[in-house]
Amino acid sequence: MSARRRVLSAALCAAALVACRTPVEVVASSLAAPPAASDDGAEPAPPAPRKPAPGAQPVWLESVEDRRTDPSLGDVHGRPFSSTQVSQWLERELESLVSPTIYVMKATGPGAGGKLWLRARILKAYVSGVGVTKTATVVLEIDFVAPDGSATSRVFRGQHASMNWWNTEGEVIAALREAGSNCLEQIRLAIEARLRTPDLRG
Amino acid sequence: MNVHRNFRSATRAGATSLALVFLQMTTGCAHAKRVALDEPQRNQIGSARTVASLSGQELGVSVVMSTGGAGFGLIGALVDSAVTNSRAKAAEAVAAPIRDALVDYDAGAALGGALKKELAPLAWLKKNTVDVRRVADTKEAVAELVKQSGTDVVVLVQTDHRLTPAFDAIVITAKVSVLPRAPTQAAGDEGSGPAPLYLNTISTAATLPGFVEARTTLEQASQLWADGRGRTARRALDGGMAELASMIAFDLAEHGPAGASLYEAPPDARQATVIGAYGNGTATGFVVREANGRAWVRLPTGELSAIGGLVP
Repeated sequence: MSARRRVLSAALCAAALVACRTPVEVVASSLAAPPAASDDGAEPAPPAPRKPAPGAQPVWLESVEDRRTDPSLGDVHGRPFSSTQVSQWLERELESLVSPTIYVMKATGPGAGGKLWLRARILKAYVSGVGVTKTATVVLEIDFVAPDGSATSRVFRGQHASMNWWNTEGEVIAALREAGSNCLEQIRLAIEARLRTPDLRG
Repeated sequence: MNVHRNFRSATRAGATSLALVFLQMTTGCAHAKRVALDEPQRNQIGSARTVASLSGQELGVSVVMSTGGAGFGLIGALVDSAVTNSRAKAAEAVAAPIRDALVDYDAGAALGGALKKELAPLAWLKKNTVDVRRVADTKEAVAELVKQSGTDVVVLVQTDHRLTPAFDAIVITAKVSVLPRAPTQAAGDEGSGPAPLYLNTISTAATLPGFVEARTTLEQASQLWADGRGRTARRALDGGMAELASMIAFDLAEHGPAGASLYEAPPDARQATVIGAYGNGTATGFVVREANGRAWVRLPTGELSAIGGLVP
């Protein structure tokens, strides 16, 4: 190996190691689920407007509040991650909740009607590392508000543990996305169960 | 004949050198990790700021690293990684009920309150303020914190709280350092930030009541910690944070042995085994304080660890 190549290799290794510890500010758009790539390699199309299934009931999302005490998303093996846009990401994800029986809509003001309203609070959103594993966690507290104004709260924890290969931003974001999906799936099931209760069934 | 004698002599010299190298390695490895704050330095401190930082946002877990594949090269290393990953995934899943029970628990507030109470009586820690904030565990972040502090020293308490691999105890560990604003870099260590005036790792472990070794499963232990909105876990954490702050105040005032030599037990001291810092393994040292079923143990390398049941 020539001296020049040796120096270049050493510099590349050093740069890679520094990159592995550089703090990362994560934006909402990168946390949102990526649009599926098309087969012909063309730019992926923006997501199509969501169509609720016939007979599906609307559920109104009143607010999403970030209750975290600071924007840290934790650190994985010494690399700190943070984001001030977690509420934007999770609001968008909650608004896109849809199933054959329900669809969530952002409430634009009073008088929207509907049988169930949601108020969401973000309690935790972070990634941690133990050994060779990284674990992403998203915890949301949801108030389910009935038409008479009575509310019940429940905490939902989404978690995703996976091997930490490279300590990269992409890996951590993918893990957070999985944890978010896991949490939202539990919320969707809870909404459906709530709408099946006799006093809310249409 | 001469060749034979030369060979024997060379062999003997080689063996002696190897023995010396081995001796140097074994004694060289065992040195005190604690840096004691000496009195003249302490008296020069005109103002201080204590910053407590929690590394995890919730109670963490720890796992026993797999080492079974160590003798099988790269394949063995990959198998070890897969086994450790599987253990960590299982521990993370089983810890969820405890974290749910503690979701409103503010470990930072407990730590901050305890430090305020325990550090206030230290007269030499003049104009000390205590705040809790997240500080990334990087040299750059720590150097920036010290630079912006505006005080003579920063007492940095980098804390971690986690379950042991068997979930039989909650361990709170703090890496405590007293960092001067004016850099006093150690020779040959330029670029690594200010050398600490004081440095030690202090940990406290509270064991789970009702845990039976080799019989209580992870799931059962998790349930015991989580029951009653995490009553037992909250007690372990509240008591642990209070004890940790008390240990920090105690250790800041303790002298160390001359040079970097190991800490030797006084003749009448009792030996005790503690859970290692960060919940890893065990360590043995001598008891420096004992009360209410809890013992503070000084390890030969200087770290201070506490062990016992829940803090009363």
